[in-house]
Amino acid sequence: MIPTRAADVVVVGAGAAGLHAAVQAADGGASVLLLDADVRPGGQYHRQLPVEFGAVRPERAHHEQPAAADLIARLARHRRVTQRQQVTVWAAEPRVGGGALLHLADVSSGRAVNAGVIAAPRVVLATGAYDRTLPFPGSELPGVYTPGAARALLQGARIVPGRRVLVAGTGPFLLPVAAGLIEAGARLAGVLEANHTRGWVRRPRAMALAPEKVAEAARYTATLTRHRTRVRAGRAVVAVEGDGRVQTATVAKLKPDWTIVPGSEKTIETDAVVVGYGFVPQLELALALGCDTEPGPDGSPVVAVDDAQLTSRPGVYAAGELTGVGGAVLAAAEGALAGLATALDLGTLGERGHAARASAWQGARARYRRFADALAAVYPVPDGWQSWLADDTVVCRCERVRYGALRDAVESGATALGTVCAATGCGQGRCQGRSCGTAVAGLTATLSGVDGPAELPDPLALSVRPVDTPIPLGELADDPDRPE
Amino acid sequence: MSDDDERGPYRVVDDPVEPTAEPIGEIVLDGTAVSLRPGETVAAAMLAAGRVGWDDGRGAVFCGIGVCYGCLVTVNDTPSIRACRYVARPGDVVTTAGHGGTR
Ligand SMILES: Cc1cc2nc3c(=O)[nH]c(=O)nc-3n(C[C@H](O)[C@H](O)[C@H](O)COP(=O)(O)OP(=O)(O)OC[C@H]3O[C@@H](n4cnc5c(N)ncnc54)[C@H](O)[C@@H]3O)c2cc1C
Ligand code: FES
Repeated sequence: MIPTRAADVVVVGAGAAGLHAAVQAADGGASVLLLDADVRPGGQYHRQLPVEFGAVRPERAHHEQPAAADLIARLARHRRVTQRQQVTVWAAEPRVGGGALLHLADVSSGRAVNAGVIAAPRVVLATGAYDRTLPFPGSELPGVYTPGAARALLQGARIVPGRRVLVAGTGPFLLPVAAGLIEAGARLAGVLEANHTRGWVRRPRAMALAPEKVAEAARYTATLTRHRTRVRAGRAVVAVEGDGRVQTATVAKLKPDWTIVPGSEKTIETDAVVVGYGFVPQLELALALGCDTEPGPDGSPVVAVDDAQLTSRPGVYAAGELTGVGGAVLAAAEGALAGLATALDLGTLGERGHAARASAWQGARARYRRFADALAAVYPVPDGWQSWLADDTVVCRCERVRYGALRDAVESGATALGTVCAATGCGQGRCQGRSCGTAVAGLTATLSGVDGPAELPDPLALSVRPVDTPIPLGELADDPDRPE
Repeated sequence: MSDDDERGPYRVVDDPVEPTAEPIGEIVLDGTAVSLRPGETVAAAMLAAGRVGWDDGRGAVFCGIGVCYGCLVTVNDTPSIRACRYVARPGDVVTTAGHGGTR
Protein backbone atom coordinates (compact mmCIF):
# COMPACT_ATOMS: atom_id res chain seq x y z
CA MET A 1 0.00 0.00 0.00
CA ILE A 2 1.35 3.41 -0.90
CA PRO A 3 0.79 5.73 2.03
CA THR A 4 -1.39 8.69 1.16
CA ARG A 5 0.15 12.11 1.44
CA ALA A 6 -1.70 13.61 4.32
CA ALA A 7 -0.89 17.30 4.15
CA ASP A 8 2.06 19.64 3.64
CA VAL A 9 2.74 19.47 7.35
CA VAL A 10 1.74 16.86 9.93
CA VAL A 11 1.89 17.95 13.57
CA VAL A 12 2.00 15.18 16.19
CA GLY A 13 0.64 16.34 19.54
CA ALA A 14 -1.87 19.11 20.29
CA GLY A 15 -0.33 20.59 23.43
CA ALA A 16 1.02 24.13 23.66
CA ALA A 17 3.74 23.33 21.11
CA GLY A 18 1.62 21.45 18.59
CA LEU A 19 -1.27 23.94 18.66
CA HIS A 20 1.07 26.85 17.93
CA ALA A 21 2.92 24.90 15.26
CA ALA A 22 -0.33 24.09 13.49
CA VAL A 23 -1.68 27.62 13.56
CA GLN A 24 1.55 29.23 12.36
CA ALA A 25 2.10 26.70 9.59
CA ALA A 26 -1.49 27.12 8.39
CA ASP A 27 -1.40 30.92 8.61
CA GLY A 28 1.81 30.69 6.61
CA GLY A 29 -0.05 28.91 3.82
CA ALA A 30 0.57 25.22 4.51
CA SER A 31 -2.09 22.55 4.71
CA VAL A 32 -1.84 20.97 8.15
CA LEU A 33 -2.92 17.71 9.73
CA LEU A 34 -2.88 17.86 13.53
CA LEU A 35 -2.93 14.50 15.32
CA ASP A 36 -3.34 13.99 19.04
CA ALA A 37 -3.78 10.91 21.20
CA ASP A 38 -5.84 12.55 23.90
CA VAL A 39 -9.61 12.94 24.02
CA ARG A 40 -9.42 16.71 23.62
CA PRO A 41 -6.70 19.05 22.32
CA GLY A 42 -4.65 21.06 24.83
CA GLY A 43 -2.00 18.67 26.10
CA GLN A 44 -0.90 18.82 29.73
CA TYR A 45 -0.99 22.50 30.48
CA HIS A 46 -3.94 23.58 28.36
CA ARG A 47 -6.11 20.63 29.29
CA GLN A 48 -9.75 21.44 28.50
CA LEU A 49 -12.91 20.52 30.36
CA PRO A 50 -15.32 18.45 28.28
CA VAL A 51 -17.60 20.91 26.44
CA GLU A 52 -20.48 18.68 27.48
CA PHE A 53 -19.89 19.83 31.08
CA GLY A 54 -21.42 23.14 30.07
CA ALA A 55 -19.15 24.99 32.49
CA VAL A 56 -20.29 28.61 32.82
CA ARG A 57 -16.93 29.74 34.27
CA PRO A 58 -14.27 27.47 32.70
CA GLU A 59 -11.60 30.09 33.41
CA ARG A 60 -11.89 29.15 37.06
CA ALA A 61 -10.47 25.71 36.29
CA HIS A 62 -7.33 27.44 35.07
CA HIS A 63 -6.71 31.09 34.28
CA GLU A 64 -5.30 30.28 30.84
CA GLN A 65 -8.16 28.05 29.82
CA PRO A 66 -9.96 30.76 27.80
CA ALA A 67 -6.84 31.69 25.79
CA ALA A 68 -6.20 28.05 24.99
CA ALA A 69 -9.87 27.52 24.11
CA ASP A 70 -9.66 30.46 21.67
CA LEU A 71 -6.61 28.99 19.99
CA ILE A 72 -8.28 25.60 19.73
CA ALA A 73 -11.44 27.16 18.30
CA ARG A 74 -9.40 29.11 15.76
CA LEU A 75 -7.73 25.93 14.59
CA ALA A 76 -11.08 24.18 14.31
CA ARG A 77 -12.28 26.94 11.95
CA HIS A 78 -9.05 27.17 9.95
CA ARG A 79 -9.71 25.98 6.43
CA ARG A 80 -6.19 24.63 5.98
CA VAL A 81 -6.19 22.62 9.21
CA THR A 82 -7.55 19.11 9.69
CA GLN A 83 -7.59 17.93 13.27
CA ARG A 84 -7.94 14.42 14.62
CA GLN A 85 -8.12 13.52 18.30
CA GLN A 86 -7.68 10.07 19.82
CA VAL A 87 -5.19 9.12 17.15
CA THR A 88 -1.81 7.87 18.31
CA VAL A 89 1.21 7.85 16.06
CA TRP A 90 2.53 4.53 17.30
CA ALA A 91 5.56 4.24 15.04
CA ALA A 92 7.47 6.37 12.56
CA GLU A 93 10.05 5.72 9.89
CA PRO A 94 12.08 8.10 7.76
CA ARG A 95 10.53 8.99 4.40
CA VAL A 96 12.61 9.16 1.26
CA GLY A 97 12.89 12.84 0.37
CA GLY A 98 12.43 13.99 3.97
CA GLY A 99 9.80 13.90 6.65
CA ALA A 100 8.32 10.67 7.88
CA LEU A 101 5.95 7.82 7.34
CA LEU A 102 3.64 7.78 10.32
CA HIS A 103 1.81 4.70 11.55
CA LEU A 104 -1.53 5.65 13.09
CA ALA A 105 -3.75 3.94 15.60
CA ASP A 106 -7.27 4.91 16.60
CA VAL A 107 -7.43 4.84 20.40
CA SER A 108 -11.01 6.00 20.89
CA SER A 109 -12.03 2.53 22.06
CA GLY A 110 -9.46 2.64 24.86
CA ARG A 111 -7.26 0.29 22.87
CA ALA A 112 -5.07 1.00 19.92
CA VAL A 113 -6.54 -0.12 16.62
CA ASN A 114 -4.47 0.09 13.47
CA ALA A 115 -5.48 3.10 11.35
CA GLY A 116 -3.01 2.95 8.50
CA VAL A 117 0.11 4.79 7.42
CA ILE A 118 0.42 8.33 6.12
CA ALA A 119 3.26 10.15 4.43
CA ALA A 120 4.33 13.45 5.95
CA PRO A 121 6.78 15.46 3.83
CA ARG A 122 7.28 17.68 6.89
CA VAL A 123 6.47 16.56 10.39
CA VAL A 124 6.52 18.55 13.62
CA LEU A 125 6.97 16.28 16.63
CA ALA A 126 5.32 17.91 19.65
CA THR A 127 4.74 14.87 21.84
CA GLY A 128 5.46 16.58 25.16
CA ALA A 129 6.47 14.83 28.34
CA TYR A 130 5.06 12.77 31.16
CA ASP A 131 5.73 12.84 34.89
CA ARG A 132 9.00 11.43 36.17
CA THR A 133 8.24 9.06 39.03
CA LEU A 134 10.51 7.55 41.64
CA PRO A 135 9.67 4.47 43.71
CA PHE A 136 9.41 4.54 47.51
CA PRO A 137 8.02 1.98 49.96
CA GLY A 138 4.31 1.68 49.26
CA SER A 139 4.36 3.79 46.09
CA GLU A 140 2.47 1.08 44.20
CA LEU A 141 -0.56 1.44 46.50
CA PRO A 142 -3.79 2.77 45.03
CA GLY A 143 -4.12 6.39 46.10
CA VAL A 144 -0.68 7.43 44.85
CA TYR A 145 -0.98 9.66 41.79
CA THR A 146 1.31 11.65 39.56
CA PRO A 147 0.78 15.42 39.41
CA GLY A 148 -0.27 14.90 35.79
CA ALA A 149 -3.02 12.54 36.94
CA ALA A 150 -4.21 14.99 39.60
CA ARG A 151 -4.28 17.72 37.00
CA ALA A 152 -6.05 15.56 34.43
CA LEU A 153 -8.70 14.49 36.95
CA LEU A 154 -9.26 18.00 38.19
CA GLN A 155 -9.01 19.95 34.96
CA GLY A 156 -10.54 17.27 32.77
CA ALA A 157 -13.20 15.79 35.05
CA ARG A 158 -13.50 18.01 38.16
CA ILE A 159 -12.51 15.21 40.50
CA VAL A 160 -10.37 15.69 43.61
CA PRO A 161 -8.32 12.56 44.39
CA GLY A 162 -8.82 12.56 48.16
CA ARG A 163 -10.14 14.23 51.30
CA ARG A 164 -6.66 15.06 52.63
CA VAL A 165 -4.32 15.34 49.69
CA LEU A 166 -0.56 15.42 50.13
CA VAL A 167 1.35 17.05 47.25
CA ALA A 168 5.07 16.28 47.09
CA GLY A 169 8.10 15.94 44.84
CA THR A 170 10.16 18.63 43.22
CA GLY A 171 9.73 21.42 40.71
CA PRO A 172 7.71 24.54 40.04
CA PHE A 173 4.87 22.58 38.47
CA LEU A 174 3.77 21.19 41.84
CA LEU A 175 2.47 24.68 42.67
CA PRO A 176 -0.29 24.91 40.06
CA VAL A 177 -1.43 21.43 41.02
CA ALA A 178 -1.67 22.34 44.71
CA ALA A 179 -3.32 25.70 43.96
CA GLY A 180 -5.79 24.09 41.56
CA LEU A 181 -6.83 21.58 44.20
CA ILE A 182 -7.32 24.30 46.80
CA GLU A 183 -9.35 26.43 44.42
CA ALA A 184 -11.62 23.45 43.84
CA GLY A 185 -12.21 23.26 47.59
CA ALA A 186 -9.87 20.37 48.41
CA ARG A 187 -8.15 20.03 51.77
CA LEU A 188 -4.41 19.58 51.53
CA ALA A 189 -2.41 17.57 54.03
CA GLY A 190 0.69 19.45 52.89
CA VAL A 191 2.83 20.62 49.98
CA LEU A 192 6.38 19.31 50.17
CA GLU A 193 9.29 20.38 47.95
CA ALA A 194 12.23 17.99 48.25
CA ASN A 195 14.86 20.55 47.34
CA HIS A 196 16.03 23.11 49.86
CA THR A 197 15.19 25.94 47.58
CA ARG A 198 13.32 29.09 48.43
CA GLY A 199 12.20 28.89 44.82
CA TRP A 200 13.38 30.55 41.66
CA VAL A 201 10.98 33.39 42.28
CA ARG A 202 13.61 34.78 44.62
CA ARG A 203 16.31 34.57 42.00
CA PRO A 204 16.45 37.96 40.32
CA ARG A 205 18.05 36.66 37.12
CA ALA A 206 15.50 33.94 36.59
CA MET A 207 12.73 36.44 37.35
CA ALA A 208 13.92 38.84 34.70
CA LEU A 209 13.86 36.04 32.13
CA ALA A 210 10.35 34.91 32.80
CA PRO A 211 8.03 37.69 33.95
CA GLU A 212 4.92 35.74 32.91
CA LYS A 213 5.94 32.78 35.05
CA VAL A 214 6.80 35.00 38.01
CA ALA A 215 3.32 36.48 37.92
CA GLU A 216 1.86 33.00 37.59
CA ALA A 217 3.84 31.61 40.52
CA ALA A 218 2.90 34.61 42.64
CA ARG A 219 -0.72 33.91 41.90
CA TYR A 220 -0.43 30.25 42.96
CA THR A 221 1.47 31.19 46.11
CA ALA A 222 -1.20 33.74 46.98
CA THR A 223 -3.87 31.06 46.64
CA LEU A 224 -1.93 28.78 48.97
CA THR A 225 -1.35 31.57 51.48
CA ARG A 226 -5.02 32.54 51.47
CA HIS A 227 -5.75 28.99 52.55
CA ARG A 228 -3.00 28.93 55.17
CA THR A 229 -0.94 26.45 53.21
CA ARG A 230 2.68 26.91 52.39
CA VAL A 231 5.27 24.92 50.56
CA ARG A 232 7.62 23.21 53.00
CA ALA A 233 11.04 22.83 51.43
CA GLY A 234 13.59 20.09 52.08
CA ARG A 235 10.88 17.51 52.80
CA ALA A 236 9.53 14.48 50.99
CA VAL A 237 7.13 11.59 51.20
CA VAL A 238 9.53 8.70 51.83
CA ALA A 239 6.92 5.96 52.30
CA VAL A 240 3.17 5.41 52.29
CA GLU A 241 1.24 2.81 54.19
CA GLY A 242 -2.27 1.39 54.03
CA ASP A 243 -4.45 -1.64 53.73
CA GLY A 244 -5.11 -1.89 50.00
CA ARG A 245 -4.93 1.88 49.57
CA VAL A 246 -3.04 4.84 50.98
CA GLN A 247 -3.99 5.66 54.57
CA THR A 248 -0.87 7.29 55.96
CA ALA A 249 2.35 8.75 54.63
CA THR A 250 5.77 8.95 56.21
CA VAL A 251 7.25 12.36 55.55
CA ALA A 252 10.81 13.28 56.43
CA LYS A 253 13.28 16.12 56.27
CA LEU A 254 15.94 15.64 53.65
CA LYS A 255 19.59 16.58 53.51
CA PRO A 256 20.60 18.38 50.32
CA ASP A 257 21.58 15.02 48.80
CA TRP A 258 18.06 13.77 49.60
CA THR A 259 19.08 11.24 52.23
CA ILE A 260 16.78 11.38 55.26
CA VAL A 261 17.70 13.53 58.28
CA PRO A 262 17.76 10.80 60.98
CA GLY A 263 14.84 10.99 63.38
CA SER A 264 12.89 13.46 61.26
CA GLU A 265 10.28 10.97 60.03
CA LYS A 266 6.67 11.71 60.87
CA THR A 267 3.50 9.82 60.01
CA ILE A 268 0.60 11.84 58.73
CA GLU A 269 -2.90 10.84 57.72
CA THR A 270 -3.72 11.17 54.06
CA ASP A 271 -5.81 9.36 51.48
CA ALA A 272 -4.19 10.67 48.29
CA VAL A 273 -0.53 11.31 47.65
CA VAL A 274 0.32 13.30 44.53
CA VAL A 275 4.02 12.97 43.86
CA GLY A 276 6.26 13.82 40.91
CA TYR A 277 9.90 14.59 40.25
CA GLY A 278 9.82 16.59 37.05
CA PHE A 279 9.17 15.31 33.56
CA VAL A 280 10.49 12.81 31.05
CA PRO A 281 10.27 13.94 27.41
CA GLN A 282 8.46 11.51 25.06
CA LEU A 283 11.27 10.82 22.62
CA GLU A 284 10.08 7.58 21.02
CA LEU A 285 9.10 8.94 17.62
CA ALA A 286 12.14 11.20 17.37
CA LEU A 287 14.41 8.27 18.24
CA ALA A 288 12.63 6.03 15.76
CA LEU A 289 13.33 8.62 13.06
CA GLY A 290 17.00 8.73 14.02
CA CYS A 291 17.01 12.29 15.35
CA ASP A 292 20.13 13.23 17.30
CA THR A 293 19.74 13.89 21.00
CA GLU A 294 21.74 16.04 23.41
CA PRO A 295 21.73 16.51 27.18
CA GLY A 296 18.80 18.71 28.17
CA PRO A 297 18.65 21.32 30.94
CA ASP A 298 18.60 18.62 33.64
CA GLY A 299 21.16 16.38 31.94
CA SER A 300 18.71 13.83 30.59
CA PRO A 301 18.48 13.45 26.81
CA VAL A 302 16.31 15.69 24.65
CA VAL A 303 15.95 16.08 20.88
CA ALA A 304 18.61 18.36 19.39
CA VAL A 305 17.22 21.11 17.13
CA ASP A 306 18.58 24.10 15.20
CA ASP A 307 17.23 27.67 15.09
CA ALA A 308 14.31 26.56 12.94
CA GLN A 309 13.45 23.70 15.36
CA LEU A 310 14.69 21.32 12.66
CA THR A 311 16.18 18.07 13.99
CA SER A 312 19.17 16.30 12.48
CA ARG A 313 16.77 14.58 10.03
CA PRO A 314 15.46 16.40 6.94
CA GLY A 315 11.85 17.51 7.22
CA VAL A 316 11.59 16.44 10.85
CA TYR A 317 11.00 19.29 13.31
CA ALA A 318 10.60 19.04 17.09
CA ALA A 319 9.08 21.50 19.56
CA GLY A 320 8.02 21.67 23.18
CA GLU A 321 8.95 19.47 26.09
CA LEU A 322 10.80 16.91 23.97
CA THR A 323 13.53 19.45 23.21
CA GLY A 324 13.87 20.27 26.94
CA VAL A 325 11.35 20.88 29.71
CA GLY A 326 10.77 24.61 30.12
CA GLY A 327 7.06 25.22 30.53
CA ALA A 328 4.19 26.23 28.33
CA VAL A 329 5.53 29.58 27.07
CA LEU A 330 8.70 27.95 25.76
CA ALA A 331 6.70 25.12 24.21
CA ALA A 332 4.43 27.64 22.47
CA ALA A 333 7.36 29.65 21.12
CA GLU A 334 9.15 26.57 19.83
CA GLY A 335 5.96 25.29 18.27
CA ALA A 336 5.28 28.60 16.53
CA LEU A 337 8.83 28.72 15.16
CA ALA A 338 8.61 25.14 13.92
CA GLY A 339 5.33 25.94 12.20
CA LEU A 340 6.75 29.05 10.54
CA ALA A 341 9.83 27.10 9.42
CA THR A 342 7.67 24.50 7.67
CA ALA A 343 5.81 27.22 5.75
CA LEU A 344 9.12 28.83 4.77
CA ASP A 345 10.40 25.46 3.59
CA LEU A 346 7.23 24.85 1.61
CA GLY A 347 7.60 28.26 -0.03
CA THR A 348 4.17 29.61 0.86
CA LEU A 349 5.81 32.01 3.32
CA GLY A 350 8.65 34.23 2.06
CA GLU A 351 11.87 35.10 3.87
CA ARG A 352 10.59 38.56 4.80
CA GLY A 353 7.24 37.40 6.08
CA HIS A 354 8.95 34.66 8.02
CA ALA A 355 11.41 37.03 9.65
CA ALA A 356 8.64 39.42 10.65
CA ARG A 357 6.52 36.71 12.23
CA ALA A 358 9.37 34.82 13.86
CA SER A 359 11.21 37.57 15.71
CA ALA A 360 8.95 37.88 18.76
CA TRP A 361 8.83 34.11 19.19
CA GLN A 362 12.61 33.91 18.89
CA GLY A 363 12.98 36.38 21.73
CA ALA A 364 10.63 34.43 23.95
CA ARG A 365 12.37 31.18 23.11
CA ALA A 366 15.79 32.53 24.01
CA ARG A 367 14.59 33.90 27.35
CA TYR A 368 12.72 30.79 28.31
CA ARG A 369 15.55 28.47 27.36
CA ARG A 370 17.73 30.30 29.86
CA PHE A 371 14.87 30.13 32.33
CA ALA A 372 14.65 26.36 31.79
CA ASP A 373 18.35 26.05 32.62
CA ALA A 374 17.80 28.09 35.78
CA LEU A 375 14.88 25.86 36.78
CA ALA A 376 16.90 22.70 36.28
CA ALA A 377 19.63 24.10 38.51
CA VAL A 378 17.14 24.96 41.25
CA TYR A 379 15.31 21.62 41.12
CA PRO A 380 17.84 18.80 40.66
CA VAL A 381 17.08 15.16 41.47
CA PRO A 382 20.09 13.91 43.47
CA ASP A 383 20.17 10.16 44.04
CA GLY A 384 19.63 10.15 47.82
CA TRP A 385 16.07 8.93 47.13
CA GLN A 386 17.64 5.51 46.60
CA SER A 387 18.26 5.29 50.36
CA TRP A 388 14.50 5.41 51.02
CA LEU A 389 14.01 1.97 49.45
CA ALA A 390 13.71 -1.32 51.33
CA ASP A 391 14.31 -4.78 49.88
CA ASP A 392 10.61 -5.32 49.28
CA THR A 393 9.95 -1.90 47.72
CA VAL A 394 8.29 -2.28 44.34
CA VAL A 395 10.54 -0.65 41.74
CA CYS A 396 8.70 -1.70 38.57
CA ARG A 397 4.96 -1.28 38.93
CA CYS A 398 3.94 -3.38 35.92
CA GLU A 399 5.92 -6.50 36.76
CA ARG A 400 6.05 -5.89 40.51
CA VAL A 401 9.84 -6.21 40.59
CA ARG A 402 11.23 -5.39 44.02
CA TYR A 403 14.40 -3.55 44.91
CA GLY A 404 15.97 -6.72 46.40
CA ALA A 405 15.58 -8.57 43.10
CA LEU A 406 17.19 -5.73 41.19
CA ARG A 407 20.12 -5.66 43.61
CA ASP A 408 20.53 -9.44 43.37
CA ALA A 409 20.65 -9.20 39.58
CA VAL A 410 23.36 -6.54 39.66
CA GLU A 411 25.31 -8.45 42.30
CA SER A 412 25.26 -11.56 40.16
CA GLY A 413 26.91 -9.64 37.36
CA ALA A 414 24.29 -7.77 35.39
CA THR A 415 25.47 -4.20 35.01
CA ALA A 416 24.20 -3.14 31.60
CA LEU A 417 20.70 -1.78 31.88
CA GLY A 418 19.36 -4.15 29.23
CA THR A 419 20.74 -7.18 31.06
CA VAL A 420 19.27 -6.02 34.36
CA CYS A 421 15.88 -5.52 32.74
CA ALA A 422 16.00 -8.92 31.06
CA ALA A 423 17.01 -10.62 34.33
CA THR A 424 14.42 -8.93 36.54
CA GLY A 425 11.51 -8.05 34.26
CA CYS A 426 11.92 -4.34 34.98
CA GLY A 427 10.78 -2.30 32.02
CA GLN A 428 9.33 -5.38 30.30
CA GLY A 429 5.74 -4.75 31.29
CA ARG A 430 3.00 -2.91 29.50
CA CYS A 431 4.40 0.56 30.13
CA GLN A 432 7.73 -0.48 28.60
CA GLY A 433 9.72 1.23 31.30
CA ARG A 434 8.05 4.63 31.06
CA SER A 435 7.16 4.52 34.76
CA CYS A 436 10.31 2.90 36.15
CA GLY A 437 12.95 3.88 33.58
CA THR A 438 14.57 6.72 35.49
CA ALA A 439 14.63 4.75 38.74
CA VAL A 440 15.91 1.48 37.31
CA ALA A 441 18.66 3.22 35.38
CA GLY A 442 19.71 5.20 38.46
CA LEU A 443 19.64 2.21 40.80
CA THR A 444 21.60 0.08 38.34
CA ALA A 445 24.26 2.75 37.99
CA THR A 446 24.64 3.06 41.76
CA LEU A 447 24.58 -0.66 42.52
CA SER A 448 27.08 -1.51 39.81
CA GLY A 449 29.36 1.33 40.79
CA VAL A 450 29.30 2.63 37.24
CA ASP A 451 29.51 6.39 37.22
CA GLY A 452 26.57 7.66 35.34
CA PRO A 453 25.81 11.34 35.17
CA ALA A 454 25.94 12.21 38.86
CA GLU A 455 22.46 13.58 39.19
CA LEU A 456 20.19 12.08 36.64
CA PRO A 457 20.53 8.63 35.25
CA ASP A 458 20.24 8.35 31.52
CA PRO A 459 16.83 6.95 30.61
CA LEU A 460 17.69 7.00 26.93
CA ALA A 461 18.40 3.30 26.85
CA LEU A 462 14.86 2.63 27.92
CA SER A 463 13.22 5.07 25.57
CA VAL A 464 14.30 3.37 22.36
CA ARG A 465 11.06 1.57 21.73
CA PRO A 466 10.02 0.50 18.28
CA VAL A 467 6.33 0.92 19.01
CA ASP A 468 4.96 3.96 20.73
CA THR A 469 1.80 2.36 22.08
CA PRO A 470 1.88 -1.40 22.37
CA ILE A 471 -0.47 -2.81 19.80
CA PRO A 472 -1.13 -6.50 20.12
CA LEU A 473 -0.40 -8.22 16.83
CA GLY A 474 -3.95 -9.53 16.73
CA GLU A 475 -5.18 -5.98 16.65
CA LEU A 476 -2.91 -5.06 13.80
CA ALA A 477 -4.95 -7.57 11.85
CA ASP A 478 -8.03 -5.89 13.33
CA ASP A 479 -8.91 -8.97 15.29
CA PRO A 480 -11.04 -7.88 18.24
CA ASP A 481 -11.03 -11.33 19.79
CA ARG A 482 -7.34 -11.91 20.15
CA PRO A 483 -6.49 -14.18 23.09
CA GLU A 484 -4.76 -12.52 26.03
CA MET B 1 -21.49 4.30 46.66
CA SER B 2 -18.18 5.28 48.22
CA ASP B 3 -17.23 2.64 50.75
CA ASP B 4 -15.94 5.30 53.09
CA ASP B 5 -17.13 8.86 52.96
CA GLU B 6 -14.22 10.18 54.95
CA ARG B 7 -11.68 8.96 52.44
CA GLY B 8 -11.06 8.85 48.78
CA PRO B 9 -11.82 10.86 45.69
CA TYR B 10 -14.92 12.92 45.09
CA ARG B 11 -16.48 15.23 42.53
CA VAL B 12 -15.86 18.90 43.25
CA VAL B 13 -18.76 20.29 45.27
CA ASP B 14 -20.14 23.78 44.61
CA ASP B 15 -17.80 23.79 41.67
CA PRO B 16 -16.51 27.29 40.88
CA VAL B 17 -16.52 26.46 37.15
CA GLU B 18 -20.31 26.12 37.44
CA PRO B 19 -20.99 23.05 35.35
CA THR B 20 -24.54 22.88 34.04
CA ALA B 21 -24.53 19.30 32.76
CA GLU B 22 -26.59 16.66 34.49
CA PRO B 23 -25.50 13.03 34.77
CA ILE B 24 -26.22 11.34 31.44
CA GLY B 25 -26.88 7.88 32.76
CA GLU B 26 -24.99 5.07 34.36
CA ILE B 27 -22.33 2.53 33.65
CA VAL B 28 -22.27 -0.88 35.29
CA LEU B 29 -19.13 -1.29 37.34
CA ASP B 30 -18.61 -4.87 38.54
CA GLY B 31 -22.36 -5.30 38.70
CA THR B 32 -23.15 -1.98 40.41
CA ALA B 33 -24.65 1.04 38.66
CA VAL B 34 -22.43 4.11 38.80
CA SER B 35 -23.46 7.56 37.62
CA LEU B 36 -21.80 9.12 34.62
CA ARG B 37 -21.30 12.71 33.61
CA PRO B 38 -20.97 13.64 29.95
CA GLY B 39 -17.47 13.47 28.50
CA GLU B 40 -15.99 11.65 31.45
CA THR B 41 -13.66 8.68 31.25
CA VAL B 42 -14.24 5.30 32.88
CA ALA B 43 -11.41 6.19 35.29
CA ALA B 44 -13.19 9.39 36.34
CA ALA B 45 -16.48 7.56 36.88
CA MET B 46 -14.72 4.82 38.87
CA LEU B 47 -12.92 7.31 41.12
CA ALA B 48 -16.04 9.37 41.63
CA ALA B 49 -17.70 6.16 42.79
CA GLY B 50 -14.90 5.55 45.30
CA ARG B 51 -13.18 2.73 43.39
CA VAL B 52 -9.56 3.67 44.08
CA GLY B 53 -7.98 0.26 43.61
CA TRP B 54 -9.03 -3.07 42.14
CA ASP B 55 -7.53 -6.45 41.28
CA ASP B 56 -5.86 -6.73 44.70
CA GLY B 57 -4.45 -3.25 44.36
CA ARG B 58 -2.76 -3.97 41.03
CA GLY B 59 -5.36 -1.91 39.26
CA ALA B 60 -5.37 1.81 40.02
CA VAL B 61 -5.17 5.16 38.31
CA PHE B 62 -1.60 6.41 38.61
CA CYS B 63 -0.43 8.54 35.66
CA GLY B 64 -3.90 9.55 34.48
CA ILE B 65 -2.67 10.13 30.93
CA GLY B 66 -2.32 6.71 29.35
CA VAL B 67 1.36 6.10 30.13
CA CYS B 68 1.46 3.59 33.02
CA TYR B 69 -1.18 1.00 32.03
CA GLY B 70 -2.11 0.68 35.70
CA CYS B 71 -5.79 1.32 35.07
CA LEU B 72 -6.64 -1.58 32.76
CA VAL B 73 -10.22 -2.89 32.86
CA THR B 74 -12.57 -4.84 30.63
CA VAL B 75 -15.25 -2.76 28.92
CA ASN B 76 -18.16 -4.55 27.22
CA ASP B 77 -16.10 -7.75 26.94
CA THR B 78 -13.06 -6.03 25.43
CA PRO B 79 -10.10 -6.58 27.79
CA SER B 80 -7.14 -4.31 28.53
CA ILE B 81 -8.85 -0.96 28.11
CA ARG B 82 -7.08 1.99 29.71
CA ALA B 83 -9.81 3.42 31.92
CA CYS B 84 -8.14 6.84 31.93
CA ARG B 85 -8.26 7.07 28.15
CA TYR B 86 -11.68 5.72 27.32
CA VAL B 87 -14.66 8.08 27.37
CA ALA B 88 -17.50 6.11 28.90
CA ARG B 89 -20.93 5.76 27.31
CA PRO B 90 -24.13 5.16 29.26
CA GLY B 91 -24.73 1.45 29.58
CA ASP B 92 -21.08 0.44 29.28
CA VAL B 93 -20.32 -2.65 31.35
CA VAL B 94 -16.99 -2.27 33.14
CA THR B 95 -15.43 -5.31 34.76
CA THR B 96 -12.22 -5.35 36.79
CA ALA B 97 -9.83 -8.27 36.98
CA GLY B 98 -11.04 -9.21 40.44
CA HIS B 99 -14.57 -9.63 39.06
CA GLY B 100 -13.98 -11.65 35.95
CA GLY B 101 -12.45 -8.92 33.80
CA THR B 102 -9.01 -9.08 32.22
CA ARG B 103 -6.16 -6.65 32.63
C1 LIG C 1 1.09 18.30 36.37
C2 LIG C 1 1.70 19.29 35.43
C3 LIG C 1 1.70 20.63 35.74
C4 LIG C 1 2.27 21.56 34.90
N1 LIG C 1 2.21 22.86 35.23
C5 LIG C 1 2.76 23.79 34.41
C6 LIG C 1 2.68 25.17 34.72
O1 LIG C 1 2.09 25.56 35.71
N2 LIG C 1 3.25 26.07 33.89
C7 LIG C 1 3.88 25.67 32.76
O2 LIG C 1 4.37 26.52 32.03
N3 LIG C 1 3.97 24.37 32.43
C8 LIG C 1 3.43 23.41 33.23
N4 LIG C 1 3.52 22.08 32.93
C9 LIG C 1 4.38 21.67 31.86
C10 LIG C 1 3.58 21.43 30.63
O3 LIG C 1 3.61 20.06 30.35
C11 LIG C 1 4.15 22.20 29.50
O4 LIG C 1 4.37 23.51 29.79
C12 LIG C 1 3.29 22.15 28.25
O5 LIG C 1 2.13 21.39 28.41
C13 LIG C 1 4.17 21.56 27.20
O6 LIG C 1 3.52 21.54 25.99
P1 LIG C 1 3.90 20.46 24.91
O7 LIG C 1 3.08 20.85 23.75
O8 LIG C 1 5.35 20.36 24.73
O9 LIG C 1 3.45 19.03 25.48
P2 LIG C 1 2.09 18.50 26.08
O10 LIG C 1 1.26 19.56 26.62
O11 LIG C 1 2.46 17.36 26.94
O12 LIG C 1 1.31 17.92 24.80
C14 LIG C 1 1.72 16.80 24.11
C15 LIG C 1 0.53 16.20 23.40
O13 LIG C 1 1.00 15.22 22.49
C16 LIG C 1 0.18 14.10 22.54
N5 LIG C 1 0.98 12.96 22.11
C17 LIG C 1 2.11 12.47 22.70
N6 LIG C 1 2.59 11.44 22.01
C18 LIG C 1 1.76 11.27 20.95
C19 LIG C 1 1.74 10.34 19.85
N7 LIG C 1 2.68 9.42 19.70
N8 LIG C 1 0.73 10.43 18.96
C20 LIG C 1 -0.24 11.38 19.09
N9 LIG C 1 -0.25 12.29 20.10
C21 LIG C 1 0.73 12.22 21.01
C22 LIG C 1 -0.28 14.03 23.97
O14 LIG C 1 -1.49 13.31 24.08
C23 LIG C 1 -0.44 15.50 24.32
O15 LIG C 1 -1.75 15.94 24.06
C24 LIG C 1 2.91 21.13 33.73
C25 LIG C 1 2.90 19.78 33.39
C26 LIG C 1 2.27 18.87 34.21
C27 LIG C 1 2.25 17.42 33.82
S1 FES D 1 -3.67 5.69 34.83
FE1 FES D 1 -1.83 5.33 33.78
S2 FES D 1 -2.56 4.46 31.92
FE2 FES D 1 -4.40 4.99 32.92
